[in-house]
Amino acid sequence: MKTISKIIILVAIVFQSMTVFSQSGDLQKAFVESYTQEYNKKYTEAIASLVKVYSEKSYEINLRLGWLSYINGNYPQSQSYYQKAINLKSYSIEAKLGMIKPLSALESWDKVLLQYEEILKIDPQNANTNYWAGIIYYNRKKYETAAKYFEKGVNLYPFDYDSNHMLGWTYLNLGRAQDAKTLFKKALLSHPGDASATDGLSKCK
Amino acid sequence: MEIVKKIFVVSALLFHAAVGIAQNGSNMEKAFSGSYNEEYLKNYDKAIAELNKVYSNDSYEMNLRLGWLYYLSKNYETSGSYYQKAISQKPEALEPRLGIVMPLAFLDDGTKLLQQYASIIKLHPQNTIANYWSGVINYNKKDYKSAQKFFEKIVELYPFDYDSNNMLAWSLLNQGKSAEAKTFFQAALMVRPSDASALEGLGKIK
Repeated sequence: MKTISKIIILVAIVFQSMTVFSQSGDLQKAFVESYTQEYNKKYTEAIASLVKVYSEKSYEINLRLGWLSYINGNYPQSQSYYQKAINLKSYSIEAKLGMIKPLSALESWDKVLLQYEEILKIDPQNANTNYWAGIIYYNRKKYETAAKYFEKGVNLYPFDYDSNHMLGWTYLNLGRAQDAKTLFKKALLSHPGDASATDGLSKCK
Repeated sequence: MEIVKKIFVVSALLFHAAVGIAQNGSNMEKAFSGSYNEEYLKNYDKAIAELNKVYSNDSYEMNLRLGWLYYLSKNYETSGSYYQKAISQKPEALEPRLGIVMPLAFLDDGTKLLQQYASIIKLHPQNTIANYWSGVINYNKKDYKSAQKFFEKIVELYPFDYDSNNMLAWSLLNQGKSAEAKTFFQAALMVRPSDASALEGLGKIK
């Protein structure tokens, strides 16, 4: 009797692990399908493949549905999936970077800035985030604030064209022509003959 | 007459400064431009020669670029020494440190390589490149516990990243943490379904 009990328990365990493995196999299959459909630009079908195995608690599915909904042009739905992914893994930078895509498409710049600030709380030296936060402030003519973001980029990557060039324009707009000049010249070492840096340099009198 | 003289001197100084800046700026720019053209044509020696025409020991940009060009020309010792100059000039910069790891990797100097990655992580704790490669070096040394810490950091920030999930899983498996390893192999397979390495790892988990 004891032996029979043991066999039953063992079979139950094996069956359970087989089910888990098979569930995991279904998930993989759904991801494979969604990648193939995405490659063929069948975004609605790609979404449907993942929805079949959807679980609210799966970070990966929510993240991927955020992306697929974004390329399918459904920005509110994309936002909602990305938000779920962010809630599931609050330290995830990739989910926040994902969220920025539908927000940018909707031109919700305040919300974009909020996401950038959240990323910078986790990763203060994130070069792309500092750069794009700087761009938003520059476009709003908030040059003092923009300068702080671009300065961070220049300090970590002193040969980076984009940060040197944008910090050059920011300083020029702050009336710091001499500082701007140095930066435009550095930008020109990375991109010789660059029209915008040359234009900026000519304004540094 | 005195005033005229002074104006003349000031004008001359300004003119001299202006010419100096123009020459300096344009010559440097010209040298960099020439070096890019030669690099594009894979004439690395000529690219180096273009920069050496205007070389200044004090120029961070030149040292950084010469570090890169010597690396491309497979002169790893010299490349390392130029990158080192750039690091000394801007110790807070990440780019020369990310540069010097390339020749160090070819010189097979694991200790110095790990030191550079550590210095990058000190400046930028969330740097994915430095964390990933520190993990790989430790993994290759069979220091799986240390490797795990580096890979975990990336997985926390980028949970859908194939490389760090796969390597974290292998690091855990090598410490006998099969159940945890399984989760990360499965995560890796969601990013790259049928990936050979992740499937192999998963196959080892009973």
